[in-house]
Amino acid sequence: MLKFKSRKFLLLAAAVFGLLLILYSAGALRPVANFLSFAAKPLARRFYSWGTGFNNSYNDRREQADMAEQVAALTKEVARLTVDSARRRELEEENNKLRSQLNFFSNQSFRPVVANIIAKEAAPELNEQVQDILIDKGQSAGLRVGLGVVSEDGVIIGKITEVKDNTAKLCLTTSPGCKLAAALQNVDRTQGITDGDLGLTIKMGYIPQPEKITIGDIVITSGLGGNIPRGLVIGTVAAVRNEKNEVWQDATINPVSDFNNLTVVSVVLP
Amino acid sequence: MFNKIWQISGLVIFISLLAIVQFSLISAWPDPWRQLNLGLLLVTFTLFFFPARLAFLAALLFGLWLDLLSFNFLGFYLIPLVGLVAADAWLANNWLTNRSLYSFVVLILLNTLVYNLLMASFSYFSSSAPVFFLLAADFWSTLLYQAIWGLAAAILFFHLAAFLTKKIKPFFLEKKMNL
Repeated sequence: MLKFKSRKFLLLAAAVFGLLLILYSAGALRPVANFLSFAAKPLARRFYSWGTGFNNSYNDRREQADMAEQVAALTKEVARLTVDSARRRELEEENNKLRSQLNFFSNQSFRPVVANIIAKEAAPELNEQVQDILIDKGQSAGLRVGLGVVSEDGVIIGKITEVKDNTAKLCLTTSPGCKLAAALQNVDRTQGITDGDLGLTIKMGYIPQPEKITIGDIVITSGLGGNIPRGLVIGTVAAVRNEKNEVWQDATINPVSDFNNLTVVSVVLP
Repeated sequence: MFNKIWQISGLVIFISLLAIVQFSLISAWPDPWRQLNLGLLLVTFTLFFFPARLAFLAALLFGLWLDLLSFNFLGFYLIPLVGLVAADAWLANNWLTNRSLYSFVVLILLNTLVYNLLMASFSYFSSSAPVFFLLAADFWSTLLYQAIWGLAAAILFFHLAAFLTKKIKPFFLEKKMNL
């Protein structure tokens, strides 16, 4: 059934792979990769959209139909209100600063690049926890590593970790290792760093002990680092861990968007 | 000649389509559906029912598509798939004797195990994963789901092939009674 000269086959396989590796290292495969990626994109977009549709209907069936609809509608509403509230607070603060500082220059406007999601990528050993998303825009659209990505609601969902000419990979805020400079919209304007936790929630660490955090506080991007503008909503505080013998306290943050339903995102160019 | 060109072109398009389905459609599905590995099934079935050079072509094309579309290094998908064809060929030459459902099941289960070990090793050594893959629950759940999918697909496709062709019909030796 499977008889063939395995020595000859192995030599052929090694030769083909060696040739591909040389071409790849020399950059000669780049036009081929660009062409294939360009040709595959329309199909990939359509397939991903179908896949998301199946994902949604499968999840809906697992729960009560009415409940799922209500939760989806309410989640959307919460996300919208949270973004609204965060924007208002930022505007208030900005207004106050402008009043006190006449030469203040506001540059809150940023240019979004709309992109379609074409695939998800997961590491085999961390299948549930780490899921990267691939989008159909890349270097040619001005994208670069470190830029923030927002959902249709305006909630930040992650940041770009790798770029190719026509595609880019982004990590989700819930994935371990996906860190963002964040700030709380509380009295102290607490600052810290968020990191994904088990692919489900977000942890905000390095918060000094004296800072007062309340459950329900909104967490936004702090703008530190330069690539991601200030004021994009990350989520709301769900729990606070405060041990008296530790230097820092940390908070668990619930994202306000459902990352499973995403098909279109916007990359924020500062 | 033209017939052959058409056949090869059709095959290339079919394998490319399968690779894009794996890359975009299946990756968006929820667990356990997401664990369906078309590359693995394609290579095993091609190797089992068609000439080995066709399985080699399928592994090469499928792996290359995924390598070029994804953000992993060149060979991340290609090496395990082509490696499997070579390993299966060695197994077939030295161990497996016929085209039975049992050898098919053994082949697909072994392929699933080796493929997942190779992929997880590549992923572990090419990134700074916090947990060694053999100690990660996700690795074992992925392996289990893929083995179940492989087993189901093996039974389904083997019976389908038995129904459509005469190559794998059951063969019984009759015991002659000499009175």
